[in-house]
Amino acid sequence: MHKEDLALVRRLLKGDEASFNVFYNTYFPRLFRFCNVRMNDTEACKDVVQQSLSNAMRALSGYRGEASLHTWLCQISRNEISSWYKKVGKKQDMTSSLDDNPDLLAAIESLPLGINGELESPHEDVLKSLVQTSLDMLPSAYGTALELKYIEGLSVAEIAVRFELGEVAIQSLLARARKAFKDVFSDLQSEYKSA
Amino acid sequence: MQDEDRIEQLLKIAGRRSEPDPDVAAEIELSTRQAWMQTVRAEKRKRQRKLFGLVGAAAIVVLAVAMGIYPGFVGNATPIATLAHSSGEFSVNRSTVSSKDVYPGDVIETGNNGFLSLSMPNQTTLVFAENTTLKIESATQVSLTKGRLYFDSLDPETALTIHTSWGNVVDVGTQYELSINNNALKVALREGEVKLNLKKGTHHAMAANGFGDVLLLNRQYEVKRSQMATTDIHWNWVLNAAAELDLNGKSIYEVLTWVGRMTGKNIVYATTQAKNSAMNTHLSGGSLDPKMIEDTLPLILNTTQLSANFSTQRIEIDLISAP
Repeated sequence: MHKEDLALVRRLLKGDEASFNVFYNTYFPRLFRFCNVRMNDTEACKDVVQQSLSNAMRALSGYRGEASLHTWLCQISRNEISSWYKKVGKKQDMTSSLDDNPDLLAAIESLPLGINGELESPHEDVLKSLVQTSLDMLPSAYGTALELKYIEGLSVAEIAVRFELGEVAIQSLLARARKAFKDVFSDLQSEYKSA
Repeated sequence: MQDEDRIEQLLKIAGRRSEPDPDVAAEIELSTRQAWMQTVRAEKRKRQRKLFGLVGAAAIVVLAVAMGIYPGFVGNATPIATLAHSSGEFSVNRSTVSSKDVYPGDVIETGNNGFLSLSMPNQTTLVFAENTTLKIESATQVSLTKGRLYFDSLDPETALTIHTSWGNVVDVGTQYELSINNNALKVALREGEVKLNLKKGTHHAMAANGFGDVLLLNRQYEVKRSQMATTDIHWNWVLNAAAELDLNGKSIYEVLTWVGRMTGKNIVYATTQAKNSAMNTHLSGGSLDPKMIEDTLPLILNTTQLSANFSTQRIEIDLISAP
């Protein structure tokens, strides 16, 4: 049960403006990236995301917290992407979707390095997608904290200022974020390897 | 190489996640907001209709009582809980229209060998041990006079307050046991967090990593704190008293979530595919007895593509591999 997501949806259903802003700022960029990597058509991607989010808003009362909100939104987007492919008469499995392209799948199986060291040879594009997808699947604060620390090189003290939290809290947050990232990334690797 | 170094290396290779064009973001936000507002308005209308319905129903009952059509039933028109399961002796202090409905003001008492399970609003279940007396004040307030009560709620938003002569206990969507006798009050956590508001200060109890706090309070308001495993055999009494789960229409995922709460074990999905399969497989008919989980669950899963591996602390769910 995804209690925090369920609580957010309940606040949304009551018309809470702040919750809408949290929802949109958290999930719109993730959903956009999710669709973009599957469609290779920015304009169509925009339409699909727009339709997906509108559908999601209309179906909010049906969200029961069994899956995370992110997963639920991705499922709605998958349906929209599928419809778009049917409408334009393209075959989805001929696109560069990470899920479906055998070349990419093969490439994933030879990624340069993994958390557990099980991958062997480099392929940056796929690795980049996998890492970014993993970050998108984490709670929002985890992904942001990891980016600030390891990509932008901010110190714990600087991140604490950004989050308006103490340094100990940030250290704890980073530890949880690393653990979560490791788990998600490993799951994604396994999923693609077994696909 | 350490995990942290590997994560840093991976993130540096990947770089920051790209942000969508701000104009596109603003345009889509507008349409999303419109759809959201429509839903909010529809929900508001739905709530109003429900409220008017309740007011209407209450008015009909009041009218019926006034006209002498409904002499045996005064007030408390809306039941707020249902007796889901019972065994042995128990009593409710009043005669209700339906023997399974529970109304505000009802006092429920179990005898020497009596166990009972009560379904409250907001996905909350109260399980009574033997020799327990509880008064239902409202949907969110009850008073425990004596005995032992097990509380299980999936709702993080609506808290139920249990009043006792020591003070009250408030949950935050959790599982715990509360017991009182003449000399002591005990709170044992199995999941989440509760707040114990006493006449002399507030205490918090939490559960994490397979263990829950146990707070024991004496009449001098001295608190002794210890811990108990969420899978400790102490909790087995709940399995004897809880209601069976109606499987009809439920997904395997819902069933396993219930199993996890009943047994205190972590439900671990070996792969994302296994989890998706659990979410997408629905059952038709039948029920699951809490006392028979370890025997019955594998039989249920035999009808699906999933298998369960039980250990002391967890139940691992995996897809059955092809022969």
